[in-house]
Amino acid sequence: MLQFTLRRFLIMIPQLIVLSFVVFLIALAMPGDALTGTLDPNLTVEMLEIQRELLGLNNPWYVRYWDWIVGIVTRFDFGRSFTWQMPVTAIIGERLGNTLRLSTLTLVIMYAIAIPLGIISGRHHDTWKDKIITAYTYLGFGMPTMVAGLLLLFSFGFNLGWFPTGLSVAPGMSPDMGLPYHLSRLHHLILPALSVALITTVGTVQYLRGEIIDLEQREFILTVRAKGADENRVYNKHIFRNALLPIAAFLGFQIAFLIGGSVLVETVFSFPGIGGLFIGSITGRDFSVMMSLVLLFGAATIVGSFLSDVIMMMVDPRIEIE
Amino acid sequence: MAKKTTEKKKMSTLEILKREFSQDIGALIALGVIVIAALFVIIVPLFIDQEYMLAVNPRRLNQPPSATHWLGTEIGGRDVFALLAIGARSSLSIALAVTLISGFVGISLGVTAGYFGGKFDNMIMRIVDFISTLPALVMIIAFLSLVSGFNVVSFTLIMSFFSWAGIMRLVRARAIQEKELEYIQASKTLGTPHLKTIFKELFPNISSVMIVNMTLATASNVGLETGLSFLGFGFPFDEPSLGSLISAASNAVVLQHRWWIWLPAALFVLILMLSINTLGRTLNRATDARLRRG
Repeated sequence: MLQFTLRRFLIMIPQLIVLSFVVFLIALAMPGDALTGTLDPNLTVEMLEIQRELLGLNNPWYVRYWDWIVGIVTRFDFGRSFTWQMPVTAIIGERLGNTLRLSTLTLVIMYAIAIPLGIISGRHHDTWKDKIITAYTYLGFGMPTMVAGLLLLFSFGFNLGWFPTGLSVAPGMSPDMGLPYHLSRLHHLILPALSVALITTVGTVQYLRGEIIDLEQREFILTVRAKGADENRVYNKHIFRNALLPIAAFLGFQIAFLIGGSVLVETVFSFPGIGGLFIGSITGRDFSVMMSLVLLFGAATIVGSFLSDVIMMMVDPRIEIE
Repeated sequence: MAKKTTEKKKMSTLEILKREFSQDIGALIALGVIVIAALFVIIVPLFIDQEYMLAVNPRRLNQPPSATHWLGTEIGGRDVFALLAIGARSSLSIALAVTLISGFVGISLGVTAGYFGGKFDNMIMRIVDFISTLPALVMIIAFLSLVSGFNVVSFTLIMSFFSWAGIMRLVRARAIQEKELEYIQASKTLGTPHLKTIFKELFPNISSVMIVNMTLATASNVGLETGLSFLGFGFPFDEPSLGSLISAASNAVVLQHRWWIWLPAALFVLILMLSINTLGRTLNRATDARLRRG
C-alpha cells in the first residue's frame, strides 16, 4: 500500500512539470511583460530597459522558465500582481479561503443530497419515489451550473430576498464581531453552494442507485438473505457499505472539479474567490496572477486525481498501478 | 448476398429504435423538442427582418414583451426574440462543430491507437492522460485569452482541443475489446487490408457507442459555449448567442427586472440540453440489448 501511494505520488512529478511548462508557454504567448503594468511617467525607456535587464526579462525563455520555477520552489515566490501591486501569494491567499469554504459547503450539501437520494432510489427502484429522483437527475444533467445559479439568484436572491446577491460577507462586518460575522459568511455561501451542489450531485445519485441495484443481485447478498437476515440489515450492513465505498474514492475528483468550477459560480454570484480572481486577472492582463492561478487549478486537479486513486486503492485493494 | 444481410440489419436497427421511442413518452417528447428547436433555428432567422429587429434603436430600449417584440427588447433596443433565434443558431452550430471536430479527432486516434496498439498507442495515451488532468474550463479560457478579439474559428478549435480526449478513450477501449474477437481475427487472417478491416468490420460494431457519446457531447458543448460566453470569453454581447444573451444577466438590474432578456435563453438551453440528453440515453438503451425495454 505504501508502495502504491509512493508510486502514484511519483507520477505527479512529471505531470506537474509538464503543467508548469504549459502555463509558462501561455504566459510567453501573451503580449506584454511584467513591466507593461508599472508604467510610471517618471521612468524613461532606457530606465525601463535597465529594469527589464535586472528582472531578467531579456534572458532567453529557458533561463526565465528556470528562474520562475526556482522562485516558486525555493522562495514560494509567484511574482507580483501589477493590478494589485502586491505579491501574488498575498492576493491568492486572501481569496483562496473563500473558495475553499465554498467548496467545502458544496461538498457537504452534495453528499447530504446524494447519499439519501441514491439509497432510496436504489433500494426502491422502479417505484414512484425512484421515478421522482430519476427525473431530478435528468434535470440536473441537463442544467448548466450557470443557469442553475442564475435561476436560484433570481428567485431566492432577488425576488424573495432570502439570501444576499453577492460578496462573501455583509459590508461593514469584521472578524472581531464574532458569531454574527461567521453567520453572515455562511448566509452568503448557501446560495452559490446550493446551485453547484444541486447539479453536481446527480452523478453520485445515479452511480449509487446503479451500484445498489447491481449489488442486490450478487451472490453474497443472496447468502445473507438466505441466512434470514431482515431487509434493513441486508441493506444497511451489506449493500450500502459496499456501494458507498467507491463514492469515497470520487472525493478527490470532486474537490478538483469544484475548484475548477469555481470560475463560473463565483462570477454568477460575484463571490470574491479565486475563480472570480482568475477571470479578473485575464481581463486585466495581470499575467503573474493568471499564471499562478492556472498552475493552482491544474495542480488541484492533479492532486485530486492522486487522492482519488489512493482512496480507491485503500477501498479496493485489487487495483494495481503500472 | 452480403448486401441483403446489411439491409436486413438496418431495418432491425430502425425497428428497435421505433420500439424504444414508442414505449417511452419522455424520449418521444425529447425527440419532438429537438426537431422543433432545429426547425426554429433553421427557419425563424429566415423570416426575421434582421435589419429592423437587430438594429440598435434608442427609441425602444429595454421594453417588456409586446405584440411587436414578442420577447421585448434589450439594452440596445434590439429585439430579443430575433436575438434568441439567431443566437441559438450560432450556439448550436458551434456545439455541433465542436462535437464533429473533436469526434473526428477522437475517433480516428482512438481507433488507430486501439487497433494497432504499440508505441503509437503509448504515446497518444500519455498525451490524453495529461490533457485529462488539466482543468478544461480554465485552460480553454487561458487559451482564448491569447487570441485577440473574438473569432469563431479559434473559439471552435480551442473548445475542440480540450474535448476529444473523452471519446478517444472510449473508442480506444472498445477497439481493444473488439480486435480480440473472432470476426476481426478472421478478417486479418484472410489478409484483408487493415483499413478495410477497420472501416468494414470494426466501425459498424462500435458506431453505436460513438453516436451515443457524440449526442451527449453535443449537449455538454451547448453548455460549454453558454458558460464561456457568459464569462465573456465566447461570443461578445453584440454577436448573439445563447451564452451572450444569458450573460446580460450578470448585470443585477437585468437579472432582477428584465427577465425577458436572459430567461428565455436560459430556458432554451435547459430544455434543449435535457432533450438531447434524453435522446442520448434512449439511443444508449437501444444499442444495449440488456437495457432495452420490451
